Amino acid sequence: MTTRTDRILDGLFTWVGRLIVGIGALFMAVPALFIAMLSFSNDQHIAFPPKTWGVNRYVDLFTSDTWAAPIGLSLRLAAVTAVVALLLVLPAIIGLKRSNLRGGGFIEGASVAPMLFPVAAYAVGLYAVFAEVGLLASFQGIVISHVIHAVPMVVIILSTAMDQIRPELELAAMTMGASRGRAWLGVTLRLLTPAVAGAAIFAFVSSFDEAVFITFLGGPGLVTLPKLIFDSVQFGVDPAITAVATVLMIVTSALLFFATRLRKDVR
Amino acid sequence: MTQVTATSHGADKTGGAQDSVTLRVRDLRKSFGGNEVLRGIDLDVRTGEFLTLLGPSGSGKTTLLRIIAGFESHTSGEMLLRGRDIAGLSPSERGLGMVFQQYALFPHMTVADNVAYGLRMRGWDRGKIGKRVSEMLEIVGLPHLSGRKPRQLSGGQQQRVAFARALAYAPQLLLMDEPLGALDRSLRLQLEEEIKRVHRQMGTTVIYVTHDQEEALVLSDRIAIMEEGRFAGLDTPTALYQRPPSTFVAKFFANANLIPATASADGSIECRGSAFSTQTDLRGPVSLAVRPRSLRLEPVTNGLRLSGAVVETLLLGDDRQVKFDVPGVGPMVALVDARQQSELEPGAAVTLHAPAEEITVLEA
Repeated sequence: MTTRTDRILDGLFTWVGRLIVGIGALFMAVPALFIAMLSFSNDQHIAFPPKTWGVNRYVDLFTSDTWAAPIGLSLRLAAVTAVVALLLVLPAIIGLKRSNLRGGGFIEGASVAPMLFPVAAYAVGLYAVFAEVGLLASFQGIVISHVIHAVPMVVIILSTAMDQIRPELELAAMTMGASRGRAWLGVTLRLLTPAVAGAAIFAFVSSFDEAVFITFLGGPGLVTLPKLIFDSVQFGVDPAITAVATVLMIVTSALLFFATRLRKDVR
Repeated sequence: MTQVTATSHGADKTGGAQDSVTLRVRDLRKSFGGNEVLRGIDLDVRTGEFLTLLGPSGSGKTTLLRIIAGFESHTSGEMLLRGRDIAGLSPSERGLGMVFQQYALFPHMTVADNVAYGLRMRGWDRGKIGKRVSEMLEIVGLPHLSGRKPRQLSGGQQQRVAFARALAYAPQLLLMDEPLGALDRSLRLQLEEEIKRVHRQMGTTVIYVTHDQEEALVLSDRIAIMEEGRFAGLDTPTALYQRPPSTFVAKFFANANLIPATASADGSIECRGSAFSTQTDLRGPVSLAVRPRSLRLEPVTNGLRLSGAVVETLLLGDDRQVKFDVPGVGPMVALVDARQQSELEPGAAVTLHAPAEEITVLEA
C-alpha cells in the first residue's frame, strides 16, 4: 500500500539523489572550467570575474623562459620514466604469465604494492635512501622515484592484457613452423601492443603530473612543471599558471582518452 | 563402417613395414613430480588413419597429445615420425598440424591470413599461398569469409578455419585436441561429418583427442581407450564395442552391464542360477560384459538369464530403456523394442535373457 507520505518520500529521495550527483559533478568540473575561463583574461592579477579578455597568458607561457625549462624537464622525465617502466615490467610480466614460476602471484602483488603507500610517506623513505647513495637532486633519482610510482599501473594494465591472450595462440604459431621468438613477436607482442602503448601513456602522464616526489627529492636545481606551479602559487601568483593548468588538463585528458581507446581495441 | 574395417585390415597386413607407420611411440612415460600420468604408451599410428585417444578426464590423453606436439617434454620413451626421432625437436621443427579446443585463431589476422600463416612460415611465394588459401577455404565451405576477422565468426566457423589452417601445409600428422568440445550438439554432429569428409578427401593422418564416446565411434578408424595413463584397449570401434578387452572398456566405451560369474574347467559359465557354454579360456571368477541391447525379454537357447525388479523405464523412441535391479548384482540397464507390449511397470518382476555369443567374458 502506497500512502501519500510514501510517495512524497520517494520523490524526495529521488531528488536528493540527483542533487548529490549534480553537486559532485559540479565540484569536479567547476574548478577546471573556472581555471580555463580565468586563463583567457588579460588582467594583471587573477580575479573573478575577469575584467578584460584575451590570450596574453598563453603568449606569456610560450614565450617566457620561466616556463620553457620546467616543461622541457617534465617532458624528458616523463618520457624516460615511461620507457624505463616498460622495459622493467614488460619482460617481467611475460615471464610471470608464461612460466609456471612458483610465487609469481606474490611477485605481481609486490610490484603493485607502492600504490598502497601514501606518496608522501614513500617520498620521505626515498629521501633517506637517496641521501645515503647520493641520488638526491639528480635526474636519475627523480626517474627512479617516478618509475616506482608508475610501475603498479603499468603492471596492472599489462597483466590484464596478457590474461586475455591465450597461450595456445603462441603454441599454434609454433606448430605451424614459427620459432618461439617469431611466435612471440608476431602474435603475443603484436596483440599486446595496444596495452603497451596505453601503459606507456599512463606512465608518462603519472610522471608528468607528479608533484610530491620532486618536492622532496628534487632540491633547488630540478624544477618540473608541477613544482613550478606549486612554487609560483606559494611565492606570488603568476597569472600564467591558469594557462599552464588549462593546457595541462587538455593534454592529459587527451592522452588518457587515447590510452583508454587503445585498451578497448585489445578486446 | 565397411570402408573403415577394410582400411584397417589393409593396414594390418602391411603393419610391420616402416613406411606405413606415420608415428611410432614406444614405452612413452611422463611424470609430474612423483605422479606418473603416462605409464608406458606403445602406439603405431598408420599412415592415413584416423586414430582417436578416448578417455575420461585425467586419463592422460591430452598430455600424450601435447607431448607428441612438442608442448611438453616426456620423461622417457621413444617417438618416431616417419622413422625420424622427434623427441628433441621443438614444435616448429616437427611439422605437425594442430587444432585446439578454443580454436586459437590469431585475432588480429583475417581468416585468409590465419590460413596462410603456416605457408608463410614455410616461405611459399604469394601467388601459391593465395591459391592454396582459397582452395582450403573452399574445402571447409567458407570461401566467402576470407576477409573477416575471427571475432566476426561463429564458433563453428572459427573451428572450420582452424581446421583449414592446420591442413593448409599438408602436415604429415594432424593433432586435434577436443576440437568440438566448445560447440553445441547439433553443430558438433555437423562438424563431425565435415571432419570425416575432409579426412577422406585429404588422406591426412589424424590423432584426435576426445572424451565423447559417440564422437569417437563416428570418426575413428581405430580408438585407443585410455585409463590412468595406459591404453585399456586399442582397436577398431566395432571390435572395441562388440568385444571389449577389459571391464573398463566395457563399462566406459560399450556402456555394458558387468555381472560377476564363475567359469568352470570346460568354459561353461555359472551365473545366478543360469548356466551356458562359451569359448572362454578364463577359469574361476569372471566378469560378464552384457550390452543393454543384448538383453531381451524372449528366452534364448544358450545364454544368460537374469531376474530382477523394474526400477524405471524410459521411452527413447524406438527403444525402451529399462533400468532394473538384480538382487546381489545391482542396477542393470536393458534396451528393448518399444513396440513390444509389456508390463514393465516400476516394481514389476522381470526376466531378461542374453545370448551367449553377445556376452564378453572378462577377467574379474
